[in-house]
Amino acid sequence: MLSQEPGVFPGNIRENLLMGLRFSEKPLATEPELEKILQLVQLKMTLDNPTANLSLGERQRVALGRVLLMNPQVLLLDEPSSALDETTEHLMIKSLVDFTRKGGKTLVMVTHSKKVIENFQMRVIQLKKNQTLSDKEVPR
Amino acid sequence: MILTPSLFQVSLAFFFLIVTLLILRMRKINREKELIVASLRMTLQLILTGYVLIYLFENPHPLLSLAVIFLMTVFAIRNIYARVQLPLSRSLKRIIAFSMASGSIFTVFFFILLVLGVKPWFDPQYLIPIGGMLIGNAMTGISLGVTRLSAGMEDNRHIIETALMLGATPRAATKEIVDHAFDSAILPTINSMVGMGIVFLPGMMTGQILSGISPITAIEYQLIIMLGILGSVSITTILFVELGYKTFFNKDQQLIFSPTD
Repeated sequence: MLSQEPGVFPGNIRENLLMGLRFSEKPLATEPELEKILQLVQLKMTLDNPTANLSLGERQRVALGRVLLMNPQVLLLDEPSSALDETTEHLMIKSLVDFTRKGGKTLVMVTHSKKVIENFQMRVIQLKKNQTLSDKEVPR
Repeated sequence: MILTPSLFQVSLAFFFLIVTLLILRMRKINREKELIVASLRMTLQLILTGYVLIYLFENPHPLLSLAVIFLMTVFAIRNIYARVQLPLSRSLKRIIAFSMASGSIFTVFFFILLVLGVKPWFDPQYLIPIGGMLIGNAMTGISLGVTRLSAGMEDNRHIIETALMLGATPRAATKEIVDHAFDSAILPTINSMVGMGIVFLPGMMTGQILSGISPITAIEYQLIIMLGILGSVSITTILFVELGYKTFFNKDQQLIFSPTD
């Protein structure tokens, strides 16, 4: 589960990525695994980079990487790319969708981006207040 | 030779009060009324305590001594509620009262029965002043701990929720905040231990020396009472923080938004 406002712990990117594994008492990831996650979330930084001076978009990606590293079966993401530019957003959501498809995982994502919906939709539920406006499956 | 100040000499000491009042008046600092009230309260309270102590010393009784310790604890707990400037939930108040009562009473009796070996255990000459010092310092410690814990939970709400979302238990998600609250509570005691004897001679020791006790005995008492204070502060505070952080979560381990119940 990932909230819209990314919570990032003091320290560097490596410590933040490992935080979820530590909390859930899972075996820690190796350096190559951590590097792979950085690529997956389109973050071009070193693992030693301190989190204090990251931008909102960078923090969002660190938080997403931290969740992906835990290898969950179901991902609930609240606007994970809201602070990203269009190109980075596209690249990140693409690798995220590939990651979930390959792993046979479920991805539930809230977004306001029409581009993301057009490019990656599978089943789109439009909500307004407490009502469902539409619910359609898109065959691929 | 022991000097016993006469009533006139005691009233001369009020010269310092007048000096402070004059400074306040000249600099137009609006604190005169408070200072006068504080001085009056201090004088009346001390006179009253003096008479109560004389009565208790002349009529030692276990129930009376226990009643005094009980009253001190109740006042200390009420004082913590009043002193902490943050909204406290009912469950947090219960934890404050429980840790304050169990922690300080344990330390007081450990001190009286084992360290000093007072016989009979309820001897008011020992139980009351030592109880006062240990309970008073525990009160200051818990007040600091409550403030730091509540503020820490409020300021780090987002990071705690992030940790919970990552599968952390409430204990793991709040470990740093709880540790920080404990650390802040015992730091003043540690600092006063560092300066003790060099930067200042503590009140108890000064009082004993002035009333004719050998400095060696006064120092022995001061040393053990300081260790007792350290124990009383750390035992009450660790009880408080270890139980207190749980009141910020519900039974589903979710962080509660406004601590009202």
